[in-house]
Amino acid sequence: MNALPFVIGAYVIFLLGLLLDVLLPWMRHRRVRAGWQARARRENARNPAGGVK
Amino acid sequence: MHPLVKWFHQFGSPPTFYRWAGIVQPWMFAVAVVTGAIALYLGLVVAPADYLQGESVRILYIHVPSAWMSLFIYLFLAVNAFVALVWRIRISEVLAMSAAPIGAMFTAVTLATGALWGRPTWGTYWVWDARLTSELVLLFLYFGVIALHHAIEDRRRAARAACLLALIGVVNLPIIHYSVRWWNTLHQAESVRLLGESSIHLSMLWPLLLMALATKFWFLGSLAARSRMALMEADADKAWVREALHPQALPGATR
Repeated sequence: MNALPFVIGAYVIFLLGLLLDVLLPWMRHRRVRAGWQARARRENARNPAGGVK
Repeated sequence: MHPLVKWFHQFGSPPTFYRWAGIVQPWMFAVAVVTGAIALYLGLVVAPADYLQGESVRILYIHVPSAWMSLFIYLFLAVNAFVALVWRIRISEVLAMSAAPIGAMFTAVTLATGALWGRPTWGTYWVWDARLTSELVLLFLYFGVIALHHAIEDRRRAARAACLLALIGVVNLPIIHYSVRWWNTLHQAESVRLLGESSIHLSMLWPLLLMALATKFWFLGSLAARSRMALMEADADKAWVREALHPQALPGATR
């Protein structure tokens, strides 16, 4: 049996796993950060003197 | 207070940990990528094909380090869960819960690459062999810990419940490790030993060890990234998060 497709498949799964392991938290980090920024801007616009600093 | 205990408490405070993890994280990923690239070159180009397994032996250069990581991360998770439950140290809770998805990823990769190795070597993707089944149980344990952590609304209670489940699951680690000795399995016994002589040629041992090192550094980088995010989410209303995020968060705001 030709093992090459299995070898390629295994390495693709391995590299994809590592990539997703980094990409998914990074995207979530960006989303959380953007949410925090939007909230901070809103609060600062509502109350420029005492908003989120 | 003993200097070591003092250092531990300082390092365990969320702002200090957040700052340090941010510094360490890119270096861990950089070392992992360089070491991993060398291991890939050695494993795919330099190392010879096996006289019995042929080219499919190259799958083992990623399968075995992933399997080691699946056990190592669970042990790390369990130790942090123990510390979190006994001493109520919050950073241990965060580290344990951040490690779980990384461990689940390595376990899933272990099972998938093992199946792809099994087809050309054994003639089947899967058998209900003791080693394979106990590794599958480990994946379900990781899923259980992650699911329980997300099922309870109170984050501290959720983390403690998940830590307890993680501790119960430790019983599976010796079962995985010794399964090939305790039962008559299709999965072969270990070829690399920490104590004692390894039954693997140096040309094949080096890519394996280098990839094991690369996955360790990858874990540290990923753990730093995930725990930073978990801390930031949990402490979103606290002053230190505002200070940490302020430069980008509020470009036009008055301080």
